[in-house]
Amino acid sequence: MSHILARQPTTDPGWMRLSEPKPCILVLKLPWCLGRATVYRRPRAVDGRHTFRVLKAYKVYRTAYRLLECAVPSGEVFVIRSMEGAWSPITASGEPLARVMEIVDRASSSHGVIRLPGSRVDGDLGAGSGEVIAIRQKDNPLELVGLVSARPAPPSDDVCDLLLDAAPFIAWLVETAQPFEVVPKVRSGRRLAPVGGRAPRGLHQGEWMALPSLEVAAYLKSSKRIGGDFFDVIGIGENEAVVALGDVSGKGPQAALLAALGRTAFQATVREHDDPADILRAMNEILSPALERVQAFITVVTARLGGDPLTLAYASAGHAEPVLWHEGDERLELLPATGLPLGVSPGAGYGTVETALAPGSVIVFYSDGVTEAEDPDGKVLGLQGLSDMIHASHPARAVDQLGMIITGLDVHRRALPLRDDVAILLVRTAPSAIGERHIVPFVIPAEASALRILVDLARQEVLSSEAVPADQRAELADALATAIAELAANQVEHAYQGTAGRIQGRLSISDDRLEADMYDSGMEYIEAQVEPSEFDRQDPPLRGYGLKLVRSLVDECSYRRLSGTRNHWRLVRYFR
Amino acid sequence: MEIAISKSDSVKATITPRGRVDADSGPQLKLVLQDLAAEGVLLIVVDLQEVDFMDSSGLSALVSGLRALRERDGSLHLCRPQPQPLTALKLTMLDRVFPIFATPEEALDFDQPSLP
Repeated sequence: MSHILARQPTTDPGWMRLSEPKPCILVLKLPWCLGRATVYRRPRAVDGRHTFRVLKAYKVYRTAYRLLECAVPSGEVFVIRSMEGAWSPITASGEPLARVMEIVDRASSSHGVIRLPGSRVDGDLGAGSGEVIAIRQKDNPLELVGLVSARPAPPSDDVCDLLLDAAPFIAWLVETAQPFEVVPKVRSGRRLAPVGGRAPRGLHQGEWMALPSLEVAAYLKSSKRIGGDFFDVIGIGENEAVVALGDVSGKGPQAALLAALGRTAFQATVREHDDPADILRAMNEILSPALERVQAFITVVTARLGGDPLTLAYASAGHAEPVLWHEGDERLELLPATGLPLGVSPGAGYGTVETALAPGSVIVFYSDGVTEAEDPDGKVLGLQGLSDMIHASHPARAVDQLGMIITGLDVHRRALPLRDDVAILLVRTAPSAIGERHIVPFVIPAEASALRILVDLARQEVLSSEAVPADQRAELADALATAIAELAANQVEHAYQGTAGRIQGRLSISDDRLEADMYDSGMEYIEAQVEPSEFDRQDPPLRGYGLKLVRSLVDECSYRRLSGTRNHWRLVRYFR
Repeated sequence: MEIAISKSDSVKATITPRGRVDADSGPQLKLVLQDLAAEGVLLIVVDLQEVDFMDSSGLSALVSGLRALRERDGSLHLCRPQPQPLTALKLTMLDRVFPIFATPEEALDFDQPSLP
């Protein structure tokens, strides 16, 4: 079995993207302090301190890249810096940058927005007219940061406005980043290596990594063009990971910049601290001055997971309570905050709570945009909704469970747009008895028009399964598709009775059986309501064929009423 | 689901649903069958060749159409069912209620309902 970790994608197409990519050249003049933050203006040194300072300056550049990508989707980000009297370009892609001096000349001699009509930066980087925006005018700017987009058209006014709005925060970030420049200790966090390019279902393409006993999957989507949620996953040793998920107060460019800063602070502190509470304490010290300046705060939860025996140690700075789902007794445990949000009190203390992780545990860290997502009637998803989806999807792989939660959020909101940012980080320990089962979770709205989704899913999974004998696939695919469609129709009609709701569950395929577990939150099933009367060929009944079909097509069909007004149907069909 | 309707004369019609006849589209099939019966059609052939999925809503629609036709001594025939709809008909014993033919022509030419 593979174990997978996800790290926040660096170019997430669903995150921080404007409505459409805007072709342009955008150049920001960075302030003098960035020049001072690097060693480029000093003789290069060979000792660890100077080398490290170069790396930290690179981190600042990377952060600036991310911030600029917040504003304008770009095929390329570049920095032009002054070194020993010459202008030297660096591009994020490593490709050469053309027409450097033209960019420098125009940016150096003008204030505010500067147009570069018809400029062409490089053959592969797009062409067309562009904009140059100076974020801070200094007499002798030494650093320029720019973007090149792929399409030939000028940027819209809102792009320019957004950049101008973001500019002071970029400058402020660069200044604030300087306290991170500390000499590293021997121990350092190790970022895990990518293991492959499998795009997870329902997720944006990210970087995937492995640990022996844990799976981690994560998702981030902003409700606006840019957002204030963030997460990160850093591997420590061979079988441990430190994760963080945070939510910045407010919205817009400021929140986005603070999120980038928060994530950078997390990465910096993990290098020096093992304990989640110590990580939060250090992050609070680093971030408090900046947060106080802009009257903002960050809720964040950080956790260390893994080891032998498997352990969860977490600390929460006022963050929405993560959920720990226990496989054994199907119980949900909330993980309460252990301190104040970052930025509220510079000397705030935090506690670490440690608990053993049993096989099959699921931990979900999330921002409040998940549980507070509203349906068209104003009803929130709530912890119960999140818990129901974890229950229904377990023990699927972490990435599939997460995909189901994301889909479930869409189903819950119907066509409503996101009102808040959504960040989810899901960790699963290896289940106790998953065997060789292939598990596919699903969630659909309780509507007749959505039943075809289940039919397609069942057919597709069975027909493509190598566990099912080839000569039986077609018949079994139809049998399973018919049975679950009938049950779902029963849930729509009798459990929900026309009211809004979700039908969720999982299909499982092993080497001798097909299984379907289906859950709803509707009224209790009473058999007499839908059972057919005595069959008369001369006068066949109009109704009552549904459950008759189900029971004819599967070997086991069971129903149980769960606590919390939920229903659980289970179907099993053997094929060997 | 799309439904094509072809009338060979004033009392015979062939309808050809395409796609799935399920909880979402079953009511549409039911309406078509009842409308044809109300127009005086006495024999309706439902050609299932292009129906790849039928659930109990589709079966109920067929029974509903049959009832409407029988009020005028009419009948409803099926032809060319694909495996999944045929299995559904057999498991619910409706294959003994609806005469099932290999071609639409045979279904149309067989004037009398063949209830065993």
